[in-house]
Amino acid sequence: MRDFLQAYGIFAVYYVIVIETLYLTILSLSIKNIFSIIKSSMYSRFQSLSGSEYVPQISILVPAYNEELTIIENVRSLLALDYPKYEVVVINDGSKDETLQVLLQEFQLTRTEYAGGSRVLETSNVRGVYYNPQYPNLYLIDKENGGKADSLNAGINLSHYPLIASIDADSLLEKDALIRIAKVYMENPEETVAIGGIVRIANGCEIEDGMIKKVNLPTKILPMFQCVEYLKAFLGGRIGWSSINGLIIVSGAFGVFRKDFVVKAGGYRGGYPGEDMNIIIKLHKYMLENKLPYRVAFCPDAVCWTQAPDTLKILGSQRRRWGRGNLKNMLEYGIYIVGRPKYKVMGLITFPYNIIFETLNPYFRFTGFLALLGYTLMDMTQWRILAIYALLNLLFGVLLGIGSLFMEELAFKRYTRVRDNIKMLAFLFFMFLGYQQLGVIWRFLGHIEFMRNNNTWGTMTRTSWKT
Amino acid sequence: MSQIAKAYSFPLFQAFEHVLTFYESSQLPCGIILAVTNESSEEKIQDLKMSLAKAEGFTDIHCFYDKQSSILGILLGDQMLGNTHFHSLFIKEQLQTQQMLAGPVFIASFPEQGESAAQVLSGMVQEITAGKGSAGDIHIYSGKRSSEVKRSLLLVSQDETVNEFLRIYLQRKGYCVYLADNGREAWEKYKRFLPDAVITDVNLAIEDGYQLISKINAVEHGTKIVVLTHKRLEDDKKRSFELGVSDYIAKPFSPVDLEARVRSLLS
Repeated sequence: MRDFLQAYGIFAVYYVIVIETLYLTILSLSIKNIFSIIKSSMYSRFQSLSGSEYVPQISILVPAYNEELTIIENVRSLLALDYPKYEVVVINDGSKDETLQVLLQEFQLTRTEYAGGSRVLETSNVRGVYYNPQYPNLYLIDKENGGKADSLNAGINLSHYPLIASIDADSLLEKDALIRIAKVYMENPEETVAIGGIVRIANGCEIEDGMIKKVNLPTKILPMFQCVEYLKAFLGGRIGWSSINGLIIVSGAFGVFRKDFVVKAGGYRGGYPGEDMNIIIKLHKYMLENKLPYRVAFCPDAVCWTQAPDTLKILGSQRRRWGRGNLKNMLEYGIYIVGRPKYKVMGLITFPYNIIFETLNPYFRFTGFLALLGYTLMDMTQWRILAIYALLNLLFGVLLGIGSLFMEELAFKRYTRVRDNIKMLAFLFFMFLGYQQLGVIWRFLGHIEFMRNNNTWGTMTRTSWKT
Repeated sequence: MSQIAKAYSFPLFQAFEHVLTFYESSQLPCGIILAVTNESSEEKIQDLKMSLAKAEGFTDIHCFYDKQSSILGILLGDQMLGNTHFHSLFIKEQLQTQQMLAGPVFIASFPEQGESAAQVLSGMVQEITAGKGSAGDIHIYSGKRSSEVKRSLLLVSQDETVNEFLRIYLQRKGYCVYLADNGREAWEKYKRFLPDAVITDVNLAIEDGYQLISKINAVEHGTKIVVLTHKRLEDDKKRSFELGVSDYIAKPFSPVDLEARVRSLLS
């Protein structure tokens, strides 16, 4: 028994070393890319681009389920983006609250039969489309509840433009976010099938009329952890993955897609969470199977601000949902894609990496920890190996965090005060004393839920932007 | 004209006539500073001139002290109003440390504030001799526009930099400028100030530019509306003109062009 524990513990140590080295590799790819990103955003002229007729038209899809508190401000801010030609399609997904009513009242929308679009994807029953010529860029779809993926599909059916952007109803876009994404798209319009923006935590920021007036760090502890966590994931991770065209997810909170390919890949999948990762996997699969050149890009200067859950209960339900969605996607596509040269980076790197190091992460890390703990308890003289395990986790984690923070300060500088940077550094460190372990447990619980066939979305509560 | 004729006989003007005609004919700007002072000797004035030349690093200065009216006149070559104001601060400080200053300081610049140097100077002399202005203060001569009503403008844009830049520019062109950065604020300011013209973007938060324009048109106050926007699409132009805007200027824009268009709209 003791030998087994020891062997497993040592395996876990190596596992951690490998995973963290991989993270570091990705991080260094990110850092390598950040310089060209800085240059391209410094020298390009978004301002004049934002009025040009040569910029592709975008349909912004906003699925809304029980969003009566924030929906008006969000739609207002979406209607005032700096972008030449776009439309906002709000999809009320059978909300149980007054979402539909507040929208109808605020924008004086009336039912219309001539909204255009074409029904290319199956969705649950659409009860009506509402429109007001006073707001020619705004459409509201009222449909029966069918989930977020179903809402997005309904939005695609109505949309009039070749690009679609999916945006969470609890998120705010910066005015130039869309035009920055469009710039990335226009660099290579033939091959770009999807572009993700960066998601930042809005808790603590001063928000007025649906616009971020002043950027602050969150004041509460949980959103603060998520703030540095998101920075690590987006800056340290996704920039690097996008540079080898291995991005497996474009955040559901803010992403832009080629509509024709989304439709060809079968649209969004309902029934399970994780539809944002699912659509990207399907796009990769479609493009690779048809031998079409393509790329999934990431645009770190297009910013979407989102409300982070600030209680353990809601955060837990969100993370369990992510765990479930991730497992479902990995099981569903893993067997086709893993290890097949046909799927290039996807099959040889991204998918194996995600299965071994993301999906199975909670098992190895947690059981490794338990094994080492048990081993140490049996033989107290061997406490060093437990300490090494803990230190490895901590040091690598902090190193990754510092790398991401460095990129943030180099390229984006959203948090300008010295105090803010010290606070972020501190939280990068404290993350490993409880928060990260909680995340691992939640993911594990998510997997259990998946096995027990629990497909619900879980609760997400909103607070009004007004503070 | 009689005032100007009077000014011609004024010693200050006679002393400056030569220089002023030079600037007028060569169309160079010229800053004028008048200050009411105590008895002053030629030496003190030379001292002031020297320290000015030394501190500010320019040579084109002409000073004259009129004993009769105890007005010290200073001409600063090639200086616009902004710079003149800046230098006047220095001069005022100098005069105060030497305890020479006995009344207000008036500053002006031509051709910024009137085509004729004689007119500007005589107007300033008039104001200063009429006892306007309080001692020790710097007054910017308001020029011939003081007799006219100031034109008022409402600037609406989400871009604070553009708003601020245009505010300064248009204020110096003699307009009274109000600012708003979203549609709702613009509408409230419009109702309060009823400006002569509104320069607005169409892309605004809360209420967009089109709604603002329709609301302003419904007031029937005869407000001229100029759209100033990044959007260069035919659709936006068409919609704006359908709503009855007077002009549509796409960014990047020239402030000179904008001002000229607004001026011709308001004349």
